[in-house]
Amino acid sequence: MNDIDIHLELQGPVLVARLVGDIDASNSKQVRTRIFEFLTNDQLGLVLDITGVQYIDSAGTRTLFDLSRGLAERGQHMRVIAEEDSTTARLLKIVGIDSSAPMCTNLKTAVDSIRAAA
Amino acid sequence: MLPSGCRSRQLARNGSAVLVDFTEYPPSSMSQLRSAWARRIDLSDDEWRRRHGLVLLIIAVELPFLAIYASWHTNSTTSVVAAILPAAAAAGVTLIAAMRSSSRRTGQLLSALTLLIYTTVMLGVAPDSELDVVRLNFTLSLIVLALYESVPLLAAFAVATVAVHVGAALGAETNVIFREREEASGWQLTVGYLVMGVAAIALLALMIAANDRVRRHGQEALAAARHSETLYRTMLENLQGVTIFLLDLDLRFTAADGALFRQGWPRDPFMPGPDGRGPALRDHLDADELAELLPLYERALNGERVSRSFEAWPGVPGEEFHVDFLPLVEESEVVGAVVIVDDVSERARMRRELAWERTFLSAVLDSLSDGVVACDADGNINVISRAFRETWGVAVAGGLVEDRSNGKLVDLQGGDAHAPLRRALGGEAQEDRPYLLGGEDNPRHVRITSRPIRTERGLLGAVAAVHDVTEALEVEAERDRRIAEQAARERAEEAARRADDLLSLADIALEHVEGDATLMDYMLERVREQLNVDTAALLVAEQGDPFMHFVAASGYRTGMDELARMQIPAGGSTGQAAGAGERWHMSVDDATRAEWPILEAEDLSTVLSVPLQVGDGHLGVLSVGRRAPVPFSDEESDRVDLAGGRIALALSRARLRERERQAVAALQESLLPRRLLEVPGVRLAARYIPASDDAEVGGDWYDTIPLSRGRIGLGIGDVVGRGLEAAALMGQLRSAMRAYALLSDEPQKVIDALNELLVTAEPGEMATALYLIFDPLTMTITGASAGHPMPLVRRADGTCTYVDGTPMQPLGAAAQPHQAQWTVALHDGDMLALYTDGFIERRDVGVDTGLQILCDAFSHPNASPDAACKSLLQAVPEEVRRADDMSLLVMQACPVTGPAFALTLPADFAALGRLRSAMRQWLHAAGATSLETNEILIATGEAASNVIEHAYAPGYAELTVDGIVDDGLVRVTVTDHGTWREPRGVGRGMGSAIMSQLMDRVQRTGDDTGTRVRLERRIGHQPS
Repeated sequence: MNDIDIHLELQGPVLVARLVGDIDASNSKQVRTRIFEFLTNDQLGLVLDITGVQYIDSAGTRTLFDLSRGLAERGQHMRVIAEEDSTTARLLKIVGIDSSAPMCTNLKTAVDSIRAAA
Repeated sequence: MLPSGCRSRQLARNGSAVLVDFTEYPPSSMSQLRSAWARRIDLSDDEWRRRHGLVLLIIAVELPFLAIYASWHTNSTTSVVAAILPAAAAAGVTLIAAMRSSSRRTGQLLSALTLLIYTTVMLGVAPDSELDVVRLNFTLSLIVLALYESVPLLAAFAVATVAVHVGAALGAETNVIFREREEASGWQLTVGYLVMGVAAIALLALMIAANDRVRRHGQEALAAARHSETLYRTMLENLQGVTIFLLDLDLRFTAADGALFRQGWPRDPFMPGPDGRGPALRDHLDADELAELLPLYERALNGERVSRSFEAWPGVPGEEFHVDFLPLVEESEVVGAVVIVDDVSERARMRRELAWERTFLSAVLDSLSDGVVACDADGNINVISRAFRETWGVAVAGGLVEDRSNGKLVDLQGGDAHAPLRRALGGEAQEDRPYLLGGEDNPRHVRITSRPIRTERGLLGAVAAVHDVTEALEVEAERDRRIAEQAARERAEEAARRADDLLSLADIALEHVEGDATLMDYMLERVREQLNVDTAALLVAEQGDPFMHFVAASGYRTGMDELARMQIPAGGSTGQAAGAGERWHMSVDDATRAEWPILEAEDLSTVLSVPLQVGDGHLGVLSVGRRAPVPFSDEESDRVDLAGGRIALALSRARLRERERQAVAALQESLLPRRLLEVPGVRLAARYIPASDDAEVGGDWYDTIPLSRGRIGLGIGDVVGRGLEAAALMGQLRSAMRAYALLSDEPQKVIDALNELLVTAEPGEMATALYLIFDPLTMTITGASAGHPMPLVRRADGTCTYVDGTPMQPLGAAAQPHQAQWTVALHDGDMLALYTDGFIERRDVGVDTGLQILCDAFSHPNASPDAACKSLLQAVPEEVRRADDMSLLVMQACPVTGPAFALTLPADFAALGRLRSAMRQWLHAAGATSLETNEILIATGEAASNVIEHAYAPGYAELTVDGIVDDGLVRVTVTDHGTWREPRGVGRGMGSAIMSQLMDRVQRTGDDTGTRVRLERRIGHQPS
């Protein structure tokens, strides 16, 4: 399994997951399981901070899709924070995650955006 | 010292002493008084009688005068007698009382009283006769003074009296005293006074003479007493250990002196007090002692002599005391008791020593196997040793020489059998003269040596030693018999020698059972020589194999290769016989020649096969053959059987050993990594050489561990000890190192954890271990060692050094390891060697030399780690390799950068990280920007993921990634050897989209042998 650190915290009613490392097929399931573990119904949504992720492949993006779909089914919202113009951001745009989990550049915007949507 | 009274009494018994001081000695009985009186007056009976005679004389002289004067003053004789007799009686009574009085003073007082009574009576009879009174006084004074020996007073008194009488005679007219004697006639008075004067003078002379004698006697007695006293004291003081106590009839101590007091006993408690009375025995004893001892004293007082022994005496050392209780007899009368305490400890000790010496001497004599007998000069036997008694049947010493042998001794040289001691007494010695002793039932052969015992004082006696040689003679006879037997046996065994040669030959094989074909050949050759056969062969059937095969042959014309290819049916007659454990003896005829081409080819006429059997197992046959038609005799067949048995044993052991070796090797192999890692930037090679001296597994291990971010962990270790336990522990440590390596980035912590594991889980076990992490990106090595020798580093220029670091204590040695992590920077092409102590701990040279040799070998310019392994192994001589197992792990840091890139990976998601880290280096070196690099990585990762996900069935598989940078164009090819299946699941098609978006071109080609995905991307500018 390749290295991935998952830091979870609560910003009010919003769960913030900060990922550091590479996300690939070897650890993407772990990422999903761990975040779902901490996601509860009373939370408004999830902010996924992947500025610390150097590498994400299709399995990783699939996980992001899984997360956003799971949230949407429960009426919750998801935002992704990625560095602008980074490979990661570009890849996410390629796969079109934007449509279900809009990308933000910082935490405040992301949290506010979720609050606004809720 | 005795009180003087006592002393005098003692001396008086000699009948010669005097000078009694009665103030010091109160007599306590009539007999004592009498004897005291006797001694007071005179020392001898004669003297005593003389002294009494003197008194009687004085009275006899005086009485006529008394009568005359009385007749003058009275008219009646009757009245005179009536007056004198009571006076005389009263005076006599007081006189006797004076004599009996206990002291001189009392005696004198009573004498004075006698005088007073006498005078008073006389005055009563003749109150006007002063002269008579004076004379009577004088007379009585004479008597008293004579008795009491006051010579000067007596003399003065006598002179004064004579003077009075003379004066009275000369001047009667003027003397008032005589004035009433005027009626007496002048001559009467004159005669009377003359007679009185003469009598007085005579008396005086007698007194003086008697007193002189007494004084002389006294002086002599005094001298004798002093002499005796000195003698007595000297005796008492010099008598070792003797103490004497004297007690009187009341059991009071009157005297005590002797050894006890010299040893510190206080004398005072035994001395008479100021009242003249000695201390009572009762005060010296407690109740128990009194009960025990008092009867003894009383018996002594009763005149008995009682002796007792005591083991201790209070207050003094010593182990034995002899005490005599004797009556103290004086003048045949018991006057007290004498207790003589004799400390006989020294004598007892000497007695014991003497007894011990006798016992010792007797034990020495008794311990001799030779009998010893000795006699004194008179022929009385006084020493007989145990052996002599037993041999002779004589119970005790004593008696004469002639009585001893009871006629049982026969002089084998003729002559008198009793003679040995007697001849010796006669001065003739004999040396080992042979005798026969005893009856017919158990005759003993003995040798008797006898000789006289002489000292300066002449012949003391004779001694004889009897040496029983019966057994020796028997042994000698037995030895002769055996020598004869041995000769016979040797002749008999000569015949069996050839068979023995065979056996010993087979035993050589048993010592070197390696299944070595050469050795088997050699053995068969010897079998051929020994058995006089032309061919010998070993045919062996493996279990389950229907055919037997030649494994060794000797004397065959056919070559071994051809023989080895032959298949002899195990079910054939030979094989069946072997299976049944029987010999198979065949005379070859035409039919059999046809059946067995080999017999034909070898031209064999007679063949004997014996089964090779171990227990119930059948290994094959030993087959010998002759070309001449000479059948095998039974004896020959037996020898072949014998040889077959030995060979079977050797074979069986060889097989067993081989199986063990295989099992051990398999175990060892299973414990070492099956394959080394393939990691970009690193080339690896490893060797494990088991010790060849025995089949035991060693405790060496090494391991390569893939870590995150392209790093690699290298571990090596050595468990102390050998065998399965060491191997098991090694497996444990290896697994644990793997686990800890994944948990921690710090080798120090990995080693610490291993140590903790060993200390807690396997206390008492020890191991060395070294673990390091190589990071190809930073080109650094970080490592830690627990007692393991430090790695060797060979730089690209050929210099070779040991890593400079402090090894910690071995694992298991201490629970608290030190901090000793070290770091080494590597450069492209540098090599690192990890090794176990088998490389450096060499018996032929020291460790330092071993290290130097290893270093020299490593500095050899080798292109690859594999070549380096070879060089390092070559540096260790064969015999060193045998002693210990050796592990070697060589790593080379090699550049992954450059235009070309190639990496083969396991088809496993976990390997993708390594792929990325290697490609990152490569792309970085190729000048790609970080963004470009990332995008190429993502695309490649997608291609690889597809392979992993879709190309293979579960199990190990590989994929290869090749890359090339050509003028800014990066081309990456991901190749697999599997069969693709269609993507499954939702969102699985994303990979292709990503690849095509990120790369300039994506091309996939595939066939039966695999699939190839080509990715192209131009770097140096942003793709549109």
